[in-house]
Amino acid sequence: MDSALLTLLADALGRVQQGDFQVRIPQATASDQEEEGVIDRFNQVVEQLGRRNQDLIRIAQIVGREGELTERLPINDYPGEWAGGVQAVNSLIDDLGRPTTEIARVIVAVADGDLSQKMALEIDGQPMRGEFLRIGRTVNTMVDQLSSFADEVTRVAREVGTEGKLGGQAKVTGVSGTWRDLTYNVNFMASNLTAQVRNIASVATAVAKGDLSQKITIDAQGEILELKSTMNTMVDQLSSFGDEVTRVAREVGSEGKLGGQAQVRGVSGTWKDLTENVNQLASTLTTQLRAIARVSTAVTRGDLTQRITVAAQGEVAELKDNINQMIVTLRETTKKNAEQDWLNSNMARVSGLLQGQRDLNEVCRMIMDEVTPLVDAQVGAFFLQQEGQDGTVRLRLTGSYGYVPEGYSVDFAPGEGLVGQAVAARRTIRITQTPPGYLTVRSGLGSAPPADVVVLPVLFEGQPLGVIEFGSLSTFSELHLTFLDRLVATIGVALNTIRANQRTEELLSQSQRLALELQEQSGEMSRTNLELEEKAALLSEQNRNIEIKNQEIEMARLGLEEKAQQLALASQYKSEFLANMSHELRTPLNSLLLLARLLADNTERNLSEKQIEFARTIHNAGSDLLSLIDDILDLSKIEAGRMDVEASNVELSEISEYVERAFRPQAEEKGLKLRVDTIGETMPMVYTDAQRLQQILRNLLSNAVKFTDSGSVTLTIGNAAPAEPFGVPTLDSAAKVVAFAVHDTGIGVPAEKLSLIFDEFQQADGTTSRKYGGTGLGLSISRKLAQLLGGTILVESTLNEGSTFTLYLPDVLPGLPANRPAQFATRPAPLQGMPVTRPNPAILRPVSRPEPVQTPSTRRLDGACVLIVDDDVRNVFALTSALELHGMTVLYADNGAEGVRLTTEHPEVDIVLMDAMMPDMDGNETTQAIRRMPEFADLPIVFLTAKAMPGDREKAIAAGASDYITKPVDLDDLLELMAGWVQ
Amino acid sequence: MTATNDRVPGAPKVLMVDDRRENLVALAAILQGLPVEPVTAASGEEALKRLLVDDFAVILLDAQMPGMDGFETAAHIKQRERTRHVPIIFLTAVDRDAHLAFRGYAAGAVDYLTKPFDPWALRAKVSVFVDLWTKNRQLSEQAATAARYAALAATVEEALGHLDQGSPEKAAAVLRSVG
Ligand SMILES: Nc1ncnc2c1ncn2[C@@H]1O[C@H](COP(=O)(O)OP(=O)(O)OP(=O)(O)O)[C@@H](O)[C@H]1O
Ligand SMILES: [Mg+2]
Repeated sequence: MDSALLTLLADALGRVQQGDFQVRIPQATASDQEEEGVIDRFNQVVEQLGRRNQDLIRIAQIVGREGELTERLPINDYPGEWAGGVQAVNSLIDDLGRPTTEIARVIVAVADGDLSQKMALEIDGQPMRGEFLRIGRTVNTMVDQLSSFADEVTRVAREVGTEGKLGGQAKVTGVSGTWRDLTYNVNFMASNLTAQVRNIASVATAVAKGDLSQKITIDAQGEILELKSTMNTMVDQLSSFGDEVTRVAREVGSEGKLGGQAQVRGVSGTWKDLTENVNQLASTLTTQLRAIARVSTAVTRGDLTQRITVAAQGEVAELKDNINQMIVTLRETTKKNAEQDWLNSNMARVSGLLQGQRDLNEVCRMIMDEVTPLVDAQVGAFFLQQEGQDGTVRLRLTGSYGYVPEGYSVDFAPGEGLVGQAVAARRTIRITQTPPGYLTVRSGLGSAPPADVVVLPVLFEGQPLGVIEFGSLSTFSELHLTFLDRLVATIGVALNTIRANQRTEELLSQSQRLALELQEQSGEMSRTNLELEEKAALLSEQNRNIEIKNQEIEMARLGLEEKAQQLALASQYKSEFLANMSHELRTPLNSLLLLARLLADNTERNLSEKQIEFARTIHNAGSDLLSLIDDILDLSKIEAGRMDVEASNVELSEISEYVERAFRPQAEEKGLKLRVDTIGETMPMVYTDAQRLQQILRNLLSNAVKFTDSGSVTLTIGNAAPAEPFGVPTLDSAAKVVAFAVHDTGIGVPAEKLSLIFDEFQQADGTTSRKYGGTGLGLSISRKLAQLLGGTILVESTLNEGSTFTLYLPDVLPGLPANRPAQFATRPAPLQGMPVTRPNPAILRPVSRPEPVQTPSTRRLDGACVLIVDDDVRNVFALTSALELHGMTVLYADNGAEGVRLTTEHPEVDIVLMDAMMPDMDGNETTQAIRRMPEFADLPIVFLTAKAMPGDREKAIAAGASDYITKPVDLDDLLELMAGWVQ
Repeated sequence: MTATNDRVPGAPKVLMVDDRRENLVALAAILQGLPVEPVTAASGEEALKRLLVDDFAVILLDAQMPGMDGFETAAHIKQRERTRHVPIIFLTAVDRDAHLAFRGYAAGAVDYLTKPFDPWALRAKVSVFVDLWTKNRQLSEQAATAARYAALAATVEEALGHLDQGSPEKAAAVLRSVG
């Protein structure tokens, strides 16, 4: 590149810098191709710059001047860095254009009268700022004020103008300047208008209300002023007219000065016509009122014949018609009232006549007499309905007026003739054209057929009671017919009442008659009734007594049965108790007696006489007590049926020996002779219980000795005389009866006490016990024993001379009674909860061979020492004897501890037989204790135990047992086993 | 098991069996002064236990006892060789029941006393049996002594025989064996 070009370039660039975009470098200046390219490029750049400048000018022109806010630079034409600039320009246009558009929109709306539009204060989510925001707010405030103003003005205009609500004022706040003036004007106008309209309205209202004194006083201009003066003129004329009309009206209407005329001056046209009309009206009114007054006065005087005849129109014509109609109505009403009066008074009169009537015929006659002339009839007939005996109903003529009977009885059945028909149909029948000869009205001077006949049924509650018929020469008036209609109803009531009364009276008298009869009958009945009642009462009383007696008897029986049961039970209990008690008493007494006896004997020779005496007293008293207890024991045993009887052949010589031995010393001591006699050749023999026999004789003899102070006591034994019957079956049936008679010469027994002394605890008199001791049991036991032996005891005695007690026994003890009571256990049953001995099987099987058999094993065992540890001594005792028989020495321990002790104390023990089950220390424990001592480590210990439980053997071996054998043990097996262990 | 009141050393023993303590006391009182050692048992079982351990000159046995009564106890005693000859005196209150006495005798009682009995009679009976026992004991002791003497004589005889045959060692041995 040469400098020429460079110079050119620098020059051109300088011009470009100064804003000349027209500069170009001509191609011709290029010296070579390279320079040609540079020039070309430079020119292009400048051209482009110029074009872009044009673009900017154009856009400014369009947007700024022409207001085309939508115009933009075409971004595509600007590559590279240019694009940013173009973007900035475009967005500037946007930013400027949008608020402007918004303002324009709102202003346009306001201009169009739409005051609801407001400017948005943000564009595309971007809040407006700066000048734009201020403009936006101002525009919005303006729109608000405009809108508020327009609203108020519109409201006031509507209220005052359209709706007529006067007094409304526009309230536009926050306005100033022209707006405030404007608002003030509107309000001023509104209040002006309001005041004027109100004034006119108040005057108009007053006029309308008839107050013509009001005038429109308010200031007004223009059209309103015209209206005001017109109104005021109208009010004046109205007022004048009103005064006149009022005056005329007052004179004609109020003061009754008819003929008055209105004089209204200064009026014309309508007002004049009006005034004339008023005067016309006043004169017409006057004429009409005078006519009405005349008629009214006539009516007031009772003259109902007048009518208002004056011509009238409208309301007055109506008044006239009304008065005329009223007069007609008044006339009719008066007539009706008169008829009603007649009806009522006659009804009342006839009703009064009917009242208190009791006779039907009388009533019929009275009705005929009274009513026929009353209804202007000349003929009347009354038919009463009567029931015949056979139940048929007939209507019989009972009363008549002016009627001449044809000579036969006039009566009808229901449905028969008009009379019957009236009853059957229960309706009034009227005949206005009677056929000739039907009925005749006759007077003394002549006769004529009636013109009108009425036949009325008399009913009560729809049931016919009779028929009334009237005939008249003239026609019956409605009034008379009505009267008759009403009358028959009243007659019906009256007839019914009379009938009912008659029936009641009949019933009354009938019932009175019946009551009388009843009274008579009941008098008789009550008499018989009374008798019957008395009898019944008596009977029931007797019944009750019997019942009570029966009940008493039954109760007594029950009571007795119960008592008997209780007694049986009680005596059983008593006997049982006594048996037990006596035994319990007796046992300790024995040792007491023994010890007392030992003491009394003073073997040690160390007791004083006194002490010996005491011991003897104890012994004697104890002996007495013991014998008493023995007696009681016997008695209770007998009563409880537990006395055993053992028969054997009893040699009577033995008896006499016994008596001699037992009683001789006593008798001699008392100085009495004792004899035993035997009657007959040979000593008899009895088969009986020797013990009991002895007991009886002992009692009898001891009594004899006891109750005899001097003389003798004799026992006589012999066969009883066969003649006497004893009343005791066993004696009476016995082959032979042996008698043992104990005779004494003692105090004797009073006859009356003879039966008593055999009772328990009974003595002949109260002093016996004190004098002779004893308890009164001897004889009762004796007698009971005698009975037990099949015999009896009889007594003969003479007071102070002596007694004979004789025992009679059959020679052979009869069989024991079949039904002996069951025996009672003497020993109490084991109490509940007491340990029950466990069933321990015997150690040994029952040995069949009593003699020990020598075997090699037993020989080996001979002399061995065996320790048995077992708590069941029975078994051990048996085993011991067996082992001892085989020459063994047996040591025994009844418990484990003792076993251990004996083991240590007796080293000679060769073998131990150990019971597995023992209380406290059992076999296992004992074995373990023994094994704990080293010297007995090898001592054979054989277990004996009941039926092995699984595991028992193992446990025993573990405890140290050498061997094991099951109970009951077979002795041979045991010996064999033991021999195995003993060296 | 039970205490005895006045123990006479080496004296024959009397076994008294009764379920009532006071009766045992009374029995002991009756036997007081006799050269015996009274031993008491309150039941049949206890009596058997005593009999397993000791020898007795006589047994006083109450017939009526709860559990094992007198008759059963006697039966056991009679079955054992070693005790069967020990005399038993039955003591009973149930005198009126004759068959009880019979049962007593059947059970091997040598005597049967009903309460209340004469204490002197019992004492006399016991002393008779005790004497008997002592005599028997003496007798058997004498028999044993006699036997010992006989054995000794035989041994001496045997020793003399050995001496005669010129074997003094044998004779010495024989004599030594006797002690
Ligand atoms: N041989 C007799 N002479 C006179 N009275 C007698 C004779 N035997 C009995 N009695 C009278 O009969 C009563 C009853 O006699 P019983 O043998 O029942 O009683 P006890 O002799 O008085 O007393 P217990 O016999 O119980 O010791 C006697 O109390 C006595 O009054
Ligand atoms: Mg008596």
